[in-house]
Amino acid sequence: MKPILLTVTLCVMLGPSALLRAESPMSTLVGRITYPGPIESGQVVAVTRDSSFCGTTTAIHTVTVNAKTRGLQGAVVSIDDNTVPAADFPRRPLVLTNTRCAFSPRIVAGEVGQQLEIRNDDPVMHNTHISMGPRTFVNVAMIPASRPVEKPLKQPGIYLVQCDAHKFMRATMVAFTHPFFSVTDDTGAFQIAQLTPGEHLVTVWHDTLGTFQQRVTIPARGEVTITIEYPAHVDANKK
Amino acid sequence: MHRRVLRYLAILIVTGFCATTAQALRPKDGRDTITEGHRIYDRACVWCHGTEGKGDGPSGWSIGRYAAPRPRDFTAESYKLRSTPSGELPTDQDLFRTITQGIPGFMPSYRSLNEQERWQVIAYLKSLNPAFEQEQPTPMVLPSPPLFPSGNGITNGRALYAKYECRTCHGDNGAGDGPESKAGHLRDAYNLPITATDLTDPSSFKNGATPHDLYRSIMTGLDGTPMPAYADQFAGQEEAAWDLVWYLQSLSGQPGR
Repeated sequence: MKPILLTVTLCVMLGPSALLRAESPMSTLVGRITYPGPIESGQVVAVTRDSSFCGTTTAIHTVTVNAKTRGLQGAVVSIDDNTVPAADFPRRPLVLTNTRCAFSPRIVAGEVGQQLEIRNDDPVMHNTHISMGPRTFVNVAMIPASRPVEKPLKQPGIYLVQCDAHKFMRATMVAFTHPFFSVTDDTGAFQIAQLTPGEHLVTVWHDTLGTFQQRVTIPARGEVTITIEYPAHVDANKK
Repeated sequence: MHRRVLRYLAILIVTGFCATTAQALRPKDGRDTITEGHRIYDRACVWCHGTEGKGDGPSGWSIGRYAAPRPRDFTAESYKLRSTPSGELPTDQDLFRTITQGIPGFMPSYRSLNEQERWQVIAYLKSLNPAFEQEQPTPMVLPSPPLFPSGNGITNGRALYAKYECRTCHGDNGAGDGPESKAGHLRDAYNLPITATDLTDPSSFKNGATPHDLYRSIMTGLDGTPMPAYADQFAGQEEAAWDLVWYLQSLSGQPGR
């Protein structure tokens, strides 16, 4: 097939929007958040109910660092000054699961307007109690094998997630007014797509370590890779 | 059976009449109504809820100093007593009901204010929290008790009480002495210690003690406390929810089903 004919065929097949997307100068930021501090073993607390399933003790990890990559798990990376309309941004389902007497993931991030789906995979009852300051976002009973509960995110901010039945169960939910955020995985890696070229302010937030910001220059097209080391002196209470 | 049907019909008629009358006396929302509500608030509510509605009035400071409940902070806090889903603001009717009935043991009934004055106070309270301008509280469907309850209501309700682990907080016999409550593990939104309601003493029920009140508390939960909402667990099982209500009533020796 001749090149021109191939191009025309592709134009007809993909449509003009695909070509526009291909032409639009947007980039992806990929990277890793590392933490130079000590790797903690977790605070061991006693489990006072449902011990036959939850165990008699559990370890609470507030700072989880990958020994191989030094990557910090559960850091929320966001770019708040991106200007691209995000209507067609691929959004991941927002799911918070009670599993093995813990919340998974321990850090969950979503966009205002998204539905949060709460699940219970455990054979014991939990209640999922999410609040921001004195305002309850939701407090629902989750009996074993119950159907998922859905709740739309309405307000941006940082929410505390807890189970009143199992006090050691804690998590954090962060809600944004845009989709340009990512939560680092167990190697500390993250990825944020559809960024406009130019200088952006990257904000990294961790529920124990606090906030850290760094400027990054995004090229016209393609992918830029960065590594941000979380300074050990960051104020833990700074949001 | 006929007596029971007539009783429900009478309740429906009286409730409908009261609601209609209350609505008829409701002033139009607006600056004048809020101003008048503020004037009444300064006379009737400020002692506990404070000059700015933050729950820090001279009396409120000591009431909520060491144990829940602290007087409501109208500027930001959740509302316990609602007909709306967990996390939502209350409806105007919810606020009217609370002001009218009071909260046993904590807040007096304000029937001493006429209905127009109560609505004016509500307009002022809502003006303290910008969320009331942004959100549209929608009540849940909270049906009236069935005219012909199932024969095993209390038995089914007892099983649900165990299945839903109500005993964890309220205790095996509903006396509010469940292990979590006794151990002092229950906390409110301010991390103040809070105890589970003694279900054998209906006069202490903050959200009311009628079957409809109990149904509403179970479905909506009491935001700002550990009491969760069970609406999703009872979805499509309305009769089961009523069975739990009958069992809770039986704990205080009220007529069973």
